[in-house]
Amino acid sequence: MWANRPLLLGAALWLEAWCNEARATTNVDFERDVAPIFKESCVTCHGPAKQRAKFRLDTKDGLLQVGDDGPRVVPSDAEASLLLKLVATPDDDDRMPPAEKPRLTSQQVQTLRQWIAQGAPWPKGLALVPPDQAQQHWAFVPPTRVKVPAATALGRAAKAAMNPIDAFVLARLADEGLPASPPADRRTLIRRLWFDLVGLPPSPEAVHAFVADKRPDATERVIDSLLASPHFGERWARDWLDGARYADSDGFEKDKRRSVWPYRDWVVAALNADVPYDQFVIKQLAGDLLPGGGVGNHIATGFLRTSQQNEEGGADPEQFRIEALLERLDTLGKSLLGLTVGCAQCHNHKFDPISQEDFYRLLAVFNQNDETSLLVYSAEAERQRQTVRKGIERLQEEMKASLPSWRQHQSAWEARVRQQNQTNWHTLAAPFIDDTTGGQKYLQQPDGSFLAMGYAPTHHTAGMAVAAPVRRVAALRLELLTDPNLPLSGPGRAENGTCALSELRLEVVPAGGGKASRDVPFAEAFADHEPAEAPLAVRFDDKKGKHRVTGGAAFVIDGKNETAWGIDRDPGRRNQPHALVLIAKEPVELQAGEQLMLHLVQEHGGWNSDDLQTNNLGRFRISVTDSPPLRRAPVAPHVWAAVNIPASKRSANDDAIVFEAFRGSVPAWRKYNAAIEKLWARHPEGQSTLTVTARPLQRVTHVFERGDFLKLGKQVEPGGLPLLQAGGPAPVVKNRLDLARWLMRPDAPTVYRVVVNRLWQAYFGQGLHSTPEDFGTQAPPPLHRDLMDHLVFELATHGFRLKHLHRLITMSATYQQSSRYAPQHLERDPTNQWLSRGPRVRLGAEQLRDASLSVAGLLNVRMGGPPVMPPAPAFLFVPPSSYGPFPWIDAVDNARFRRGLYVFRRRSTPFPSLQLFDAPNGDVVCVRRNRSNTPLQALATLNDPMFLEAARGFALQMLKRSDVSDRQRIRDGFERLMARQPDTAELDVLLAWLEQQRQQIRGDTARAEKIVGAVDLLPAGAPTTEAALYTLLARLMLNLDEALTKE
Amino acid sequence: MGPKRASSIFGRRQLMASAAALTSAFGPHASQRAWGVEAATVGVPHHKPKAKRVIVLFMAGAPSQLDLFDYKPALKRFDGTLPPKELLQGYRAAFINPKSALLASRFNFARHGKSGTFVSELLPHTAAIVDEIAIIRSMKTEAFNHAPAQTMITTGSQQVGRPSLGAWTLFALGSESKDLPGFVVLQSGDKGPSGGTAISGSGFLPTLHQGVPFRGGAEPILFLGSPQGIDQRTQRQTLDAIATLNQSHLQQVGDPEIITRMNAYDLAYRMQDAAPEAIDLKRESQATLELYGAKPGETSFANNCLLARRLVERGVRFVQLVHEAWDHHAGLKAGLEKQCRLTDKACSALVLDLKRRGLLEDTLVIWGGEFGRTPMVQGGTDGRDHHPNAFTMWMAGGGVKPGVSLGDTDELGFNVTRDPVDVHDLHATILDLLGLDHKRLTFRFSGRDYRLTDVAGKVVQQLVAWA
Repeated sequence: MWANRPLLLGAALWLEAWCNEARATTNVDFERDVAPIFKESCVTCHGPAKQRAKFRLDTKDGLLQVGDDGPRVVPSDAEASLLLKLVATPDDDDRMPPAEKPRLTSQQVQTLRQWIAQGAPWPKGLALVPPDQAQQHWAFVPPTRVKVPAATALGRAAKAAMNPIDAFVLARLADEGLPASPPADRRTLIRRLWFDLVGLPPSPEAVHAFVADKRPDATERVIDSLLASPHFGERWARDWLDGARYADSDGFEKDKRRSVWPYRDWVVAALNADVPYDQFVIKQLAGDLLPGGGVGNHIATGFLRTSQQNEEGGADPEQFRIEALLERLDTLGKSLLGLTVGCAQCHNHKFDPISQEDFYRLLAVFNQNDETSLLVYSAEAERQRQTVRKGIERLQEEMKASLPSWRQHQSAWEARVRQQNQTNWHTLAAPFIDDTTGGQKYLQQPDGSFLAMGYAPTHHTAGMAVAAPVRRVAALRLELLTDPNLPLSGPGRAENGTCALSELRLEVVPAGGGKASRDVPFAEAFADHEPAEAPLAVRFDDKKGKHRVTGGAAFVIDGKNETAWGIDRDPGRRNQPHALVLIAKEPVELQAGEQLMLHLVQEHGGWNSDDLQTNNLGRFRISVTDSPPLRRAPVAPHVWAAVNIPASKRSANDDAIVFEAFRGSVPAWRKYNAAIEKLWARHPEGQSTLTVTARPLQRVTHVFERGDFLKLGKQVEPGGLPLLQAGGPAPVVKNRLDLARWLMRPDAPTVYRVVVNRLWQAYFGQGLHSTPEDFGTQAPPPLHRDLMDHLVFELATHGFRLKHLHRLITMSATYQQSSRYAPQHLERDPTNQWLSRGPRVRLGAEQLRDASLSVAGLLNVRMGGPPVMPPAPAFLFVPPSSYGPFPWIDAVDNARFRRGLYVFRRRSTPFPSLQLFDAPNGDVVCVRRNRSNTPLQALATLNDPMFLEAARGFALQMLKRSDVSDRQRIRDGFERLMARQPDTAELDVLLAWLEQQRQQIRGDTARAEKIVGAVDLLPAGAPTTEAALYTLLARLMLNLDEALTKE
Repeated sequence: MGPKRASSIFGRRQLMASAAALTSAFGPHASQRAWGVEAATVGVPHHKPKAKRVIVLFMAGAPSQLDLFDYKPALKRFDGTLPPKELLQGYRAAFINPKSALLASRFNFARHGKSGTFVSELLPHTAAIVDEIAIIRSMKTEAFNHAPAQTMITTGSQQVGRPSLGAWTLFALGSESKDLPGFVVLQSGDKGPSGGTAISGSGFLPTLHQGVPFRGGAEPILFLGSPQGIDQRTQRQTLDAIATLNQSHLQQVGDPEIITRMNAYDLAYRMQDAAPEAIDLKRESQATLELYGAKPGETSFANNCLLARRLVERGVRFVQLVHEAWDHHAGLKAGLEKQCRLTDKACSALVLDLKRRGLLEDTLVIWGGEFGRTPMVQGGTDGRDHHPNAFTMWMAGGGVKPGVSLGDTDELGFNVTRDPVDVHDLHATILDLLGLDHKRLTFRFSGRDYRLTDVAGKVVQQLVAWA
């Protein structure tokens, strides 16, 4: 076709001239042609906000006003109109828009001239920037049912218009004077369908079967089977997770590992199950609040937790909690609502009707969360967990039955507990000394406890100087408390919510400081939980070679930093409060002017504080008393609280807590207790996943003046965005669930357009609306609004099930068109905005990896589970590439061939071959990937060891049959890769090249061995040089443009 | 220096002809997708540029201005006393209680050069070139934690997601190199940057504008080297066959993107030659190596300075050195001594070397961290915390007025008292030197025109030499 270029160009020039001509003779329509020019270029300075030169042209009155300089617009007399003079003048100083803005094109000037010549018609009452924009801007008005264009007499088109998509597209093409393209051939189509629906290339068998299937519904059958494939969810989860800025690490400098992959798996499963889109979103915004609960719904709230988290030393946790909240609103806006709500953080949105107050009312909705983590269990673990729980319940029933008077025993025990713990404790609550916290923040809580947040050092001794609430110190108590914001609720900051306290020291010091301090020596330590001595878990190795242990409470006062009171126990009872009491040898009297100095020695963390190796206390309260308590184990805080609730007012949970604490005191139950302990020991480990959970105590939300969280403005209540009311009543939004339901109501103006658009974009490389993140007034008008709104109607009338849309799109003739460029395309539809041909786009990063491994026969299609770390260059994970050393443990065996979806996504050092092909690293919401085409990509597919491995595997596939010729092997391989046979010319090039290489490698076994590499991939029985030769050939073929492209 | 290339099966002229035809059909953007072609069509600045290329010496972690440039004799007098209360109103520190004692510098300062500028004894080499550089003692920023502050100073916003200065520069001016990336990142120091990839990212600009990390050693760019057993001849023959088949496929399907891909492969091949040559320090004279203190084969700041010069000589538009090693909360004295030893000589060598090669006049060199450090002590007597209110940077070459000292701070070095320069001002000035109006360099994204300088920034005229 390139040979025809001169002719073609000529034709194009002629065509363009013809089109200009055609345009010149048709009427200029104000809304379609003129208003966009004014909106784009004029009303910022000449509109409601500003009226430069006392001129505004957002309303007809403003336009026709006569200024000092005469009439701005004289209807029907373009040349007398100042407006036209100003936009058309060649003088840079006088011209409008002013020099720093793009000038109008000659086409636009011509449009204005013609419009004025037509009498400057302006539809009555229409304002370009109406005060109540929500009622006017197309996207803020709920989609209504659009009439499907009647099939026009366009030959093939009329038949194809069976699918409403085609009716819209053909009508539009007719307007543009463009023909549709013929259907793609079956081989191209099936490859396109596989990539689009499951993200994988079709096997040769699937291609053959489809080609041979002469039934009229052959395509439909393929589509339905792909829609039913579990890989469908994997393919489409990727797009969703981009918008959810999913990653497996925290981001920022520490960029620690995090566990939120159960959310990723939830998305895959939900898409496979075709959960209605409204429910799909509601669960992600408010799954924890849904009636009936359910762990799955709670996992879905991971959507709100996948933002970055900064735990660098010294960072203020509240500041970064707020940062994350702001980022969540940005994500909500861009990925779900199609609104740039983030623009209203510092001031009213400049363009869309979102006031700053609206923004903070929305923020108030999301400000009521605890940032929690949840344990989830695999199906097998869940069965085991139920076995344990039921077993314990049964034993408890049996033991109660064996001692009918157990209630009296328990009451007596409770009375004893209450009586024995009558100590008058006084809380020590002064800020920890900044220099001693190692960058961790100890946040004081209303109950006198501290919550440790932010950076978590692995070795530090936190110090507190505090005025003594008592005259003499006889004992000290440390309560370890749970908190929803700690890992698995704590009470510690270790990954599993535990902690270890190496030493606790108390001194009496002169209030003004100084050296004359006295230790308060402790004689005995008691705790509610006294673990047996055990070596410190390996994950806390600090590479200092010291033998460190955890064990009972006495370790806290033994003067050795190597020993610590640990609280870890079986997974079922790991995250519970505890109490520790230290009794002074002699009560220590305080003199006037003396105060207490507390040291919490926390030396049981690992070597790398950037790798979840902390073992710090999470939430705790410290108190002292002047009267020595009984020398016995204290009750844990939650037990104490429950025991003090009158039995009649206790919840089932309180009852369980009390009984659990009580049962050990009954000698007759020794056998049962032992059996229960045995069962607890069999409790399975769960997997942690990040979630949000509504907090019982509501935070007060203020407007942040100029977006600064330290400058609190007006107090605001939770609310929805008025602009999304679309004329309906103001919503009652008390919490996230209210908001989510309101946002997802069937007649919501933007959400369904946004998702329809994102789906379309994934198929065609661009959306029906070109800015998927912004449907606001500043976005260019949608190219295919009617089609978009019709698809919303389709969605709404099919239970909001996305698979219906997938089916509708892939069944359309529009989608099934050939993607080849016909002569008219380059000139008239270069970007395919009118959909005059099928999509032809480079494969996404993950698809490319998956496709290469798949044709190589290497792809491991196991679904779900923790992310994998395929081999990657080691230098990436140590300084100076990485801020700190990161434990990237290369996956072995076929775990390294898992799908791209499961590759560990580290934000600061993204997996190279995915990053190079534009996979976002999850820093911010991404609803439209770049699709770059760079030399670094060429280097990756040519030289990345992973792609080389794929080439070897692909070679093996070609060499599998020993009884065929090179020619046949190339044909088979080509088909495996491209789903089509090579043509003669292509075959000749490849054969000639193969022969050339064969000559060059002949006899050079050493070189061949290098190329073939790992022995386990050697084709059985093939001579090494042949294996090498075919590896080279496979590498070549994997780098062909067609191999990298969905056609 | 040209690549040793066998004759290509596809005619390059033919390829270029196709590209030219496409350019006419699509406008310049179609051909901007690969670097090689880009140079021909972009790079039109707003006004006459003084600087054509930039080398940033990013001292990540934030060096102590009070021990290097901002000489504060009064701190000696007040050493060990608390700062005045009114200074601390509304002040937030990362680690310390702001009510911490003041800490005088443990280092001596002396006047240097014709300008008589005070420089610390830690920087003898920088002191020697003080008449070549412009020192800004009145820098200030908004953030006082590393990650947001690094993102701020490299992208103009604390919030991640904006393009970096290097990406903006490349987006505006394109690359002058036909066989190397236009924006290269070189790393040294103790750690990676706190700001992660954002500090050299392309944000919402096309990804081809993002910084490409180069490393010393055999493979300066990831995946640059052909796999073992694939020699240059095979590589060339492979690429020729790929080109032939792509060309034939192009005839069939007509997608111009194929041409871009063919160009990309062509450039990749040239880069395989050009990049190792560009980073091969063994080609430098012994005298030059010694000037920098560079040692071929190491990963060091000194090597990276020399690499930077080699890269800009070869047309690379923007080189960002990241030396993350200055976060001296403790061990301030020893830490500064060590890092200055590792960087001082190379910084001055870079300026001198560029100058003697006639490159300094249109190469902008920028030195500095993401914020400053407190006049107050952290820990015992040997550390300083993060301080956003005042810090020091210097610039040289590329139209910067040499020998200037801009701005001043109060006698404790706590706040800027004269000629404040915030991050947006700095960016506006850098763009101005590059011939770009920071108000006109925009990119439309999410319904608005974004700028590097957001809605702020003014060019600091005192820093700009009159042409």
